[in-house]
Amino acid sequence: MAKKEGINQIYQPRNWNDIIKIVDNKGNAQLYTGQWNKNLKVQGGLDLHSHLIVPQGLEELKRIGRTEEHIEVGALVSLEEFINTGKKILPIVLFDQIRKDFPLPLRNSLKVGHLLKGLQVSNPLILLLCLLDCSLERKTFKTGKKKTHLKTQWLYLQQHLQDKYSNGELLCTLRVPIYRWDHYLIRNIQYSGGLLTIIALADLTRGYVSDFRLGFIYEELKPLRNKEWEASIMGRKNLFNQKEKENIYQYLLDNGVPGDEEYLKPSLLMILDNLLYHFQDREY
Amino acid sequence: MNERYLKDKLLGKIRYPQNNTSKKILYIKLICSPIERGSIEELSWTEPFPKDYFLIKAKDIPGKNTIDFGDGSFPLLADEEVYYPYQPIALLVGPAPQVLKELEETVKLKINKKEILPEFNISEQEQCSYQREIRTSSSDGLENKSEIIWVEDYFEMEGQQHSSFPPAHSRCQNEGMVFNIHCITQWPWIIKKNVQQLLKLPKKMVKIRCYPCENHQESKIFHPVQTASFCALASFISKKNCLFQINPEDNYFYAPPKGKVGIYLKAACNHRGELLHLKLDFSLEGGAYPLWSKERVDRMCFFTSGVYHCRNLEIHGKMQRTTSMPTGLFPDGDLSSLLTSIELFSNIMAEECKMTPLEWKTVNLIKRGNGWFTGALLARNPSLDELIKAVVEPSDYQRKYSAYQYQNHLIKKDSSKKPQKSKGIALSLGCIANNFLTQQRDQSPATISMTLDQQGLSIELPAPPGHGQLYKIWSSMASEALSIDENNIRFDIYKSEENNPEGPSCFSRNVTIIHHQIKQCINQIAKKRFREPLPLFETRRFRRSRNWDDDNFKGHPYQHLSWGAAVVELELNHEDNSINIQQIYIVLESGKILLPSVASSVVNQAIGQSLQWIFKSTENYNPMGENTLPFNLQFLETSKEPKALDGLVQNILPAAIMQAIAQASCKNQHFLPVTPGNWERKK
Amino acid sequence: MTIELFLNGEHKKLTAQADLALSQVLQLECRGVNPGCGKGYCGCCTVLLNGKLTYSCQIPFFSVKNQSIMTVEGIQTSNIFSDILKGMKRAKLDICDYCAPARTLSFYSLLKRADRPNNQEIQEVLSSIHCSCTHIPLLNQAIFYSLEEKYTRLHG
Ligand code: FES
Ligand code: FES
Repeated sequence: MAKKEGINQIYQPRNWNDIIKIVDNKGNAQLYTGQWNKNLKVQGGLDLHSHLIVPQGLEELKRIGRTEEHIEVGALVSLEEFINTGKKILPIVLFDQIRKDFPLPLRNSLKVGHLLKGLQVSNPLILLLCLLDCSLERKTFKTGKKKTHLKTQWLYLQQHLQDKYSNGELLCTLRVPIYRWDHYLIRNIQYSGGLLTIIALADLTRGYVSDFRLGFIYEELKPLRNKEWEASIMGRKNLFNQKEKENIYQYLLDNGVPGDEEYLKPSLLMILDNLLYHFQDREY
Repeated sequence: MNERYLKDKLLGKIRYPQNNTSKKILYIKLICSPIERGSIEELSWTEPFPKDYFLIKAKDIPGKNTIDFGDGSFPLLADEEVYYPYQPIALLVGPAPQVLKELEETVKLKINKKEILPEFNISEQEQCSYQREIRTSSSDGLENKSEIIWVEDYFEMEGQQHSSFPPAHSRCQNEGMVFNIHCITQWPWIIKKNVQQLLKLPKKMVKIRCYPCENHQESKIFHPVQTASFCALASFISKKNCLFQINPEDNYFYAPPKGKVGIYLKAACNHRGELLHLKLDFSLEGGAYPLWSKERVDRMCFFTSGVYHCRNLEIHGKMQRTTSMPTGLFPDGDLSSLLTSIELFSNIMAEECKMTPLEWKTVNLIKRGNGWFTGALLARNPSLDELIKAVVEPSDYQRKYSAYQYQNHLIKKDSSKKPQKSKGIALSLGCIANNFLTQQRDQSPATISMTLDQQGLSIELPAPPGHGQLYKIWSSMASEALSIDENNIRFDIYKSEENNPEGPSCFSRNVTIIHHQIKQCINQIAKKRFREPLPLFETRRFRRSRNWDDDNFKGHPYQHLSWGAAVVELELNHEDNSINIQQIYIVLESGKILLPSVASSVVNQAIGQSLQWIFKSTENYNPMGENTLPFNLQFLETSKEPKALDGLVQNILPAAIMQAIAQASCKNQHFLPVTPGNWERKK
Repeated sequence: MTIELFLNGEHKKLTAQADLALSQVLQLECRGVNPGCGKGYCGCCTVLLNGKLTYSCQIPFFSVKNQSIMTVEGIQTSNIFSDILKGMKRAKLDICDYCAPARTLSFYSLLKRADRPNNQEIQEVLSSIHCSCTHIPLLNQAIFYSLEEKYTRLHG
């Protein structure tokens, strides 16, 4: 069924061995995780020129597991199931964001793997997953002299976004640390240069910041996050001072975000100023 | 409601043109122009087509290759030149949609690029399809007076977007060269006329079957005509049944046109705030083939001063041709843009006159007995005072307005005290008229006929009514007056061939006219009932108001005007310029409300439409999410006749929201949509 | 390609091109699917896939192999359907023709799942069909009445 347009081939393997064979022979095969239409605004869409793997069986990919510190979700678990299972232990912000982005029927048909592969980099969800320190399991198929074997590797999401996704790889499991962030703030600044999204997460104990995350995402750029700021904030009662705020703005400019003194800068400074105020405002 | 009917509905037994399970149907694929403007050099295909597949070009059309709306027309398939992106050039017809997709790639289309028309610009004079100039007095006497306050401003608005539900699929059933066209439309007559001309057929051989389209925007006037014509043409040539289905990939149908409107206003007020003189200069973007230019431009001219009284006017309006898709028609033309800018302008005037907007409005409101500049008097009281009272009191407008104004004053004094959030509140007024201005014959009439015989009463309507429940109202009205069983009352839509054509001006949702006619017919039949033998026949025809002189722009063309007022309160977050609407109060005066629940869902939908228009997205407003907007709606029923409602909300709400944003952000708004890029834009 | 599936409880074999959307295939098979936008926006094409509400225009045909699909025809004999019918009638809801089957299915999925759904669940089901032509407070009302009907049927 070789066509100019349309999916090249669909495989329905029953075990890892079959998958190995497919990935080995057809370099650009990928898991089918529910993504479909190109036009949909929230979805990245399906690469129509690749081979699709739709496993039959392979419970491993459809399972949600729990360790002491993490929740592990297989790439073929539907988003709705993920939300319902993790509701009590995972950060609320993640679920709020997923709910906001995908209506119920889409959550039923889309799989967790879609979050990792299908979304555009500019989606705030990607940044959020990075900030939550999610990691993922990447299976690589290595062809040795005689036979092909499987190599499993755990990577932080941010790392994964940095190096290129290459052929012969499958993303299998998402691992989310169990930690409930008490406070969060998501803001979009739309200005003449484009859309900048800011996400901040924090935990406060008796008025002191006990844990803090801050990240930015601008259109096609990779998520921007600087661990130094985060570390410097811990244990403080106030957040950034004037100089640090200026530094953050400068950092954004250095990383390719187009500047705008008139609107972007004052807005950004105002948001950073008011972070703490927002956090104290929002108690669960 | 009938339980059977409801059950059928829920089970999806209501049919639509695309619900045809027959395997022997041909599908149609459009071949569209990839570029904006150019001349077609070559249209050929490399491999011979398989059996049953063929291509239809403009040359194959037996009759006239035009879609004609009475006022403006365009070719169905581009013949030599293309004038806008995605203009249809040819039709690919065949039994399998997938094969059509493949064949499309083998068709070679060569188009030589040509220079595009100038961009939309208010000072552009050459590419005008229609213009109108009216001058009732000149401003010469006022120029030098010192106590006169002059204000001028420019506004630019992008038009509203049409919704694309349900998609205008069409099907043509070829029954021995009688063409049965199934489509979702409210203007069957236009389709009929165009198909007839296109295929050079007598009246009898084209039949139209309309499907309901409920509350959806009734502006979709030309898409059904096009899809139906495509089907009829393919069916004529292939001698088979054809289906035109709109696919999500069809950019042509999924990129509904949005024309721009540019408005320049200049006004003179005296120190009491009275409006003495108004100059209006506007231009509409009509796309490559401007449609209804006369109607749209004239309508805006008529409402130059909005709901305010002013007889000294200088008006210059025109429609400009550009290289884009022809723009469609909304129930009130482009009046929403004009009324919005006038409301925004009135705020600026009030500011210059050192008055509050409410004071300025009260001074200038149009009242009963006031004359239009066309010489007609306003016979009925517009009850604008009551409308204002009904929104201002519950919303506490006056107090809040001055409080927010004071807050702004403080910020202006010391900008370092800029708070994180600020609020704004605004009041706006508007109106809408129901019928067309034009007196062209085939654009205006609407005929109702009724026959009473042994079987019962049959009522023939010119077009499907705006809502299915209207049938219920009419049949209960008839059964009461004539004491016949409701089951013996039948409704037909546009059945007899002899009937007069119905133009687009007879908006099917225009219950104003149809309801009245039906009532009259029933009364007549009731009178004749036992005096004359059955069958009894009665017909009523709507005629354009006689005291309107189209050429000289004199008189009063409208039978009824509906009025409305709105107050909006919102909060602006300065961090990211996000807007949070806190209260909406709407009071509408649109006569008798026949169906309260339908009326409120029309308003509900119109609010969604307005918000989409203003913010360019629905993100700020999810009609059914948890953050449902807190809106208070009230109808002021002053007359016993129903009046127009559709489009009224779009005429008042945007102005209120934009003014409230202006107050909260301390910046006057001049551009629509209100996107951050436009906030900062210089005039 | 030809695949086997369960359509409204019946075992069926359907043939179509693999990369067509399910809605395009179902449209020819049954009456209750009226795709509108084809982009996952309007919700008029909603079906139940393995008992879960799904936009059928967002699912490729190949992915439904051996799955069970339910359209509105499949529920017409169920008790819940008659509850919905009664509920809508009591609410005097005049539902839009085009998306009525999809709405019914969404009501069904809610009623089937929960006896006492919370507000969030109701809103979620309502907002999964995006068109607002039907009066929304009335839709809400209709859901409540249907739930009531179901309750009286089960518990007297
Ligand atoms: S057709 Fe599937 S959501 Fe619109
Ligand atoms: S399609 Fe039914 S409410 Fe719009």
